[in-house]
Amino acid sequence: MKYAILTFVIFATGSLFGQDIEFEKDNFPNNKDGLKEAKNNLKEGDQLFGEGPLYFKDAIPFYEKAQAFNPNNSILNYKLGRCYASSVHKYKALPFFQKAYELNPNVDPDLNYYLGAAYHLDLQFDRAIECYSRYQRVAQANPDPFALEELRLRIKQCNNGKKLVETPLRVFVDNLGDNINTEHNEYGAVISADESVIVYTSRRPGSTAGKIDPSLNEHFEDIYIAYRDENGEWIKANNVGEPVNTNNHDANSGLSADGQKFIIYLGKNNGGDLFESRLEGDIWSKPESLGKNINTDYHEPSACYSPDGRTLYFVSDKPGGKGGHDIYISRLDEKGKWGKAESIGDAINTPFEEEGVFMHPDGKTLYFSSQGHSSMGGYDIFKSIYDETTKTWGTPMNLGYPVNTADDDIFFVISASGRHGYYTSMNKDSRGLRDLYVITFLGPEKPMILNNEDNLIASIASPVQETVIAPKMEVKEAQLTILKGVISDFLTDEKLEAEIEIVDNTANAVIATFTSNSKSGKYLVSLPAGKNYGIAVKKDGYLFHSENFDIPNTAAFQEVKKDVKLKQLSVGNKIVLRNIFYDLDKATLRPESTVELNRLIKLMNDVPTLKIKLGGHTDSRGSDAHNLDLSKRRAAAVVKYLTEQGIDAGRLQSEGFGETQLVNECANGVKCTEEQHQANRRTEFEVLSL
Amino acid sequence: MTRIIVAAFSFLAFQGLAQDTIQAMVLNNDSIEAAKLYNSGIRKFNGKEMNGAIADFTQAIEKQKDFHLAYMNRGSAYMEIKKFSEAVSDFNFSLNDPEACKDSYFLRGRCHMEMDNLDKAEGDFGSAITANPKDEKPYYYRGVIKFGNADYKGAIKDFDKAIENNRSYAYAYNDRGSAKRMAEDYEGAAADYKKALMIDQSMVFAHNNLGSTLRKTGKHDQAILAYTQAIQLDGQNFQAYNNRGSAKYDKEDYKGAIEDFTKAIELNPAYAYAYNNRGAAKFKLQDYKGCIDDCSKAIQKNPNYGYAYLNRGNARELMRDDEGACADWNKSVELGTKGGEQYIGDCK
Repeated sequence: MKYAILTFVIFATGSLFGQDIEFEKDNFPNNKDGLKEAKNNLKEGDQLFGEGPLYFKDAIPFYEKAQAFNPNNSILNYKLGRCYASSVHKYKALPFFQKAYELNPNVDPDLNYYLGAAYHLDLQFDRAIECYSRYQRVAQANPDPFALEELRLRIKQCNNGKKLVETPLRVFVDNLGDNINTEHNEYGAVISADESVIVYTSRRPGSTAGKIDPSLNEHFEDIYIAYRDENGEWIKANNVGEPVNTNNHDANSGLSADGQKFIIYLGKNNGGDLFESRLEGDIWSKPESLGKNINTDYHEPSACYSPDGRTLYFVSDKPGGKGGHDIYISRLDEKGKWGKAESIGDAINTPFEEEGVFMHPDGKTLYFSSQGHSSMGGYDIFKSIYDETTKTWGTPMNLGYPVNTADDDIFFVISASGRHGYYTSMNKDSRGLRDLYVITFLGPEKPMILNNEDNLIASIASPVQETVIAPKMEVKEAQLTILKGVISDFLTDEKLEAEIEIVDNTANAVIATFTSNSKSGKYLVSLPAGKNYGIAVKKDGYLFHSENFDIPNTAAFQEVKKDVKLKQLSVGNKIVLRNIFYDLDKATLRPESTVELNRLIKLMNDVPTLKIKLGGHTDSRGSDAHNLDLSKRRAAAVVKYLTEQGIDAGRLQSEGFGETQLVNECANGVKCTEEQHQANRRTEFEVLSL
Repeated sequence: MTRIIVAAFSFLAFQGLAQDTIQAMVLNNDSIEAAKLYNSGIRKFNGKEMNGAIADFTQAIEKQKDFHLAYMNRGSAYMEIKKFSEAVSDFNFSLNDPEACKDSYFLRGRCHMEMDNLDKAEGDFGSAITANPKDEKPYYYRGVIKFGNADYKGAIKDFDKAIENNRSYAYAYNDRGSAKRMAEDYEGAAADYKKALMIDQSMVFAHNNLGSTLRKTGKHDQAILAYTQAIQLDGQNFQAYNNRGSAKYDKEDYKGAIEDFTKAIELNPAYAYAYNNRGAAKFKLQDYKGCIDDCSKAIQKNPNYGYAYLNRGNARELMRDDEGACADWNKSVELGTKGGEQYIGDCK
């Protein structure tokens, strides 16, 4: 049910917008007075409309009032569109034609033509082509060769326009402003080389003739001149006055390169002829006709000089041309008269209108306006370059959008610098009818530059660890120290069978006793890691030999070869007691020393006549005096221990040597390892007598 | 007398022998200790404790003076902490060992490369190749050096060899693609980047490179796809956003481009390129004021950014600020911007 209602509403709304409402009392039953007034306005407008296009603009106020009362009448919308299309406000015509078509597509046989033209002017080329195509079918039913030709031209212009609008020129197009332009027609500008002076034609009120041209319902043409102020702004233009301006049409055209000659169009003779005025001092002379080779009974509206002044390019609609106005060339003869004119050629002239010729100061680039070639609508400005080699004009190139529009773009001149062009157009910002515009050419497109970055090299973008290391090594981790060697006599090197006593110094206990081979003197002892070992090699008749091995738990497998040379018990021999330990920097004997000391006591007891001297030695670290004192006290501590254990003090002597008898190079200031220093810290005894 | 001398000599010899014997035993012990320290160093190296590793290798060397492998490993540890000079010194020594030789040449080459001693690096890579022609890495890095020297043909040859030695060497494919790209072989470049990504599709930079190469050949949609994959892998990759924005710009999708450039700026507010590029996109949308603002920001980020001056000049020209436009274009030329002279034709 809801869907049904919605459908109905949409249908009803569509029907309402599409209804063509006549100015009838049945349609306005509650506003008879308003209807009456609207119909009066309609009647006034219709009368003016009926007098032809020249009066269309006058009908607009009446039609607008009627339109305000009833905006949904197809005929009124069509007529308002026609009036605006003929007025200075031709851009306003489009919505009225669109509305007329929406209300009644058949309101007038020409509606599609005018709607197409309005779309065309608005640069809606596809829609314009649709309208022109529909109108073509109407025109073909009632053949009119001229109408069909024009339609073909307009469709072609639309197609041209589509291309041109896609690639707009880089230009600024500026209206020259209120001091130059008025709501009337201004056109045909020429400028001085430095662009400080502009001369142009205007159909504004106050012309010398002071009259309205009935054929156009406009004022007569006069020539105006304007200058720039110190800020570069145009000051208000003035009428050039007599004798240049007359009481008929007076239009400027070309200016010679040296500024001494001026081509003027005067409309009073022969349908409009070209004259020349020369600057005499600061007064322009009375214009003189350019002669019979230029002027005919037809219309010669504009011309320009070549840079050397010896060639004249002019426009005429005289018979024999391609159609409409064409461009002709005349050259000065030996008598200084303009010679017989000839058409500039088919490369330039078309069956349509050509106008507004201008030769660039380079002498080979011709600017002109044409409704033919690749115009996008009305007159467009073209340029053609003369090829001196082939003596031919190149294919005219459309100057492009937005210099050219779908309307008339005409009378183009370009400054000597090439930076600015001046031309006539009727853009949307026109003060009315045609105005003068300045084009600022920005030159070729200046590209915008984008910046990007990539990481082209992978190893820079994402560095990888390229370091290489050699692999680990296999290390035997057996926690044993193999002690082996040969025991022999110190002097004779005789291999000895001796007793090897292993002491756990920490436990203060003998943990093993071995004997060396009686023949080879060799021995081998395995010492597990994690202990401080005292090792004594003993043999009767010899001084025992003392070694110490501190093997931490972390120690790797190692083999230590230790050959022992036993010294016989004889006077003068010394041995080092490697297993006597003291507290750090003190002379206090540590308990671990007990086994070694007892071994010494045993020796003293075994040889009751033995007298010995205990010698204390330190390493080089610390002061010499301190070390000497420490060594004395340490030696004395051993003597004291022995006497306390019953050894007669008379058999014992002690002496401290400090650091005076180092066994290696580790003297003061020499950097050495702990092991090297350890070798110097020792207690010795020497046999004094037996 | 002779006997006494001999005896005395024998005694001394004995003393020396005894000392030497013990010393020899100590040295043997040090070898083991050195090996343990060496292994400890490797453990620390693998655990990224480079200073600890260096200390261990150093101790190992102290215990065993000719420990070449320890020198090489210490060199590698120095490389890891970017002490390249120290590393070179170690490799100078480890080169003498046949086992450490080939790696040491390569590693020393890498150090020289890092120190920008490219000639020496190239020489070392050559020696490494001679020592082991089947190793892909010296070829690869020599190729990188040749790339840097704009010797793209030479680089391609080396990358060819690297790939021949290791068919899965994604980096070599990527870099060969880059060399081909620089040599304007865009089809070949794209093929290599694709191959690299087949091996390792997580390489964000390779997606970016592929996108930019496709962009060069006008394949804007494919380029956008490649950049999008880079973004999907790394949402913080402002370069990929900037690149994708540029591809959209090429497609005349200026609004889409602006979105990407804006995202790049969001991710990296200091990224002058993205400001400049967004300014260009705004220019295309005829937002000349927006273009000027963005280019000004780009210049603020990088006062020597010549292209931003060029672009801002373009916008100022269309804002009818001829004086400002010419000032910008002239500044760009002053900064040595390539092509800047073409912009100042109408400036007096």
